[in-house]
Amino acid sequence: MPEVIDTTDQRRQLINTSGDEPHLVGSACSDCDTQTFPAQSGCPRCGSNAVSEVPLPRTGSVWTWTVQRFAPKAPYRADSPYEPFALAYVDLGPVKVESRLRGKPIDAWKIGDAVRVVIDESVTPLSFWFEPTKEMP
Amino acid sequence: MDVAIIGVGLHPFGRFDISAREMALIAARGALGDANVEWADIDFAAGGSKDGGHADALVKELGLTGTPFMSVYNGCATGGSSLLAAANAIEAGMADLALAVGFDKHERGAFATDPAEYGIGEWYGEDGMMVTTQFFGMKIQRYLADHDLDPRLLAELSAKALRNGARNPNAWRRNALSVDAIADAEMVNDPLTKYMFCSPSEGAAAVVLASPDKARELRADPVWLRAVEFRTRKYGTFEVFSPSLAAEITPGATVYAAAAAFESAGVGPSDIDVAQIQDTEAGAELMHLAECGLCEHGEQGELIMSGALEIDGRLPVNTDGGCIANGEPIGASGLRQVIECVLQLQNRADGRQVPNDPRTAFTQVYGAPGLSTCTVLSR
Repeated sequence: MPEVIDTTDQRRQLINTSGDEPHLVGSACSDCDTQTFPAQSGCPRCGSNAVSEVPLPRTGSVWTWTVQRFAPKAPYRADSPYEPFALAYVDLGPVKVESRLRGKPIDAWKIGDAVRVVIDESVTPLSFWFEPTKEMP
Repeated sequence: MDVAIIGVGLHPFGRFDISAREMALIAARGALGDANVEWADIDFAAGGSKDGGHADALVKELGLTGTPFMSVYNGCATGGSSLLAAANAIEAGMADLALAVGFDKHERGAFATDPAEYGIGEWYGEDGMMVTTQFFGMKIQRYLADHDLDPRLLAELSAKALRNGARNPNAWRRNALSVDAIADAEMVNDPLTKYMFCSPSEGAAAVVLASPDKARELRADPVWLRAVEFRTRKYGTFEVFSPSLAAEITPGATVYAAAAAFESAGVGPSDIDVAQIQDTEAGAELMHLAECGLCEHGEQGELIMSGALEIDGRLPVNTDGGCIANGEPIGASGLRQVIECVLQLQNRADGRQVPNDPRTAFTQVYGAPGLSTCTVLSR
């Protein structure tokens, strides 16, 4: 078994909960406007190091999705017993972010579904996910 | 490129009681024997393995001749890189005879990868996203929607792989399954069911390459390696282990490697008589067919349902059962494809010989985190 690494600091860099609108934190290149998530020190498109942190949009749409039906190996921190979960790339406009999906049956998702980010550091290890913007009927 | 393949050797793929090294020695000695040369004749060697040990350490058993032996690793495309290194040594005039070898032996189940190896935080793995199979599910889910393709085509491709594997004595999975049995099997990562994936396995593959003069001296029917082209991804491609993707998705490494291979070989996709395409899962084969230029995006349904990709079809693909029927020993997989094309071109693919008198063949491997090697071969 690999040793369990404390990811608290890594996770704090993914999110900003200081204001009224908690959001994910990405980086934007000041030379070519390319955005990434998580924030990184160089631009993957042009190689510039003139990048700075930006707040990412809080709503988007499911660009593609799947269900993780078997328990991943370490470093996955498993619920016990394992519960399959849905995940997606959520199109936020400037960037697509990979994230867990919650708030709907795991196989009921469709490309184009409108979703909003939820940030909750009390849910460990998961610190963010997306859920439907509208209440389910 | 002016390089010939004059010998091939394969240890069957599957699960075995011997080590990966022992399999590598069987494959290497098989290739040397097929070429009718000795290890001492080899001027340059290249090889790779993920879990089977260092390739260059094979000299302990092959013989300590002083031959330069380069160990390489490029994920699932490792075999392509070994071949490229060996072929380049001949092109550069550094060798008249070269050996490329790949071997592996993996644990059962999906690969476990440490996010740190890919420059990603541990949080990504903790959250359950450091999983190759879920990437495959998400990539093909989007591709099917973008090109209005029926998910059932994935079951059709798996059925073809297993049908071909049943005819290949070296394959691991040798039981054909119906399209319904595949489509209705346990879902793993939607829309992919358990029979649509290849599994990590064990095996070894080796080829002996020769300069043109040496090839003509040693073999009446050498196969010519017309092109080996290797590309890594550009910005904006949709790759495994990506916490985020670009606003605009761009073509993957396969598109550039395939186009370069066709250009340097001086042939086009319509000249290909038999092809081996990376099918880590059925969706990969579906997408790679178009990325290689063997059809247009969205045309795969017609190609598959017409039978064109079958052994007796217009464009037989994955005639040995591909990764789905052979499993994937990472270091060996790319060389398996090349060997299958060589056997087809020499009319010695036992039980699965394509009947179209093939003259020109094509291979494509694709590996994490977004690289591809394509070859064109001819007799």
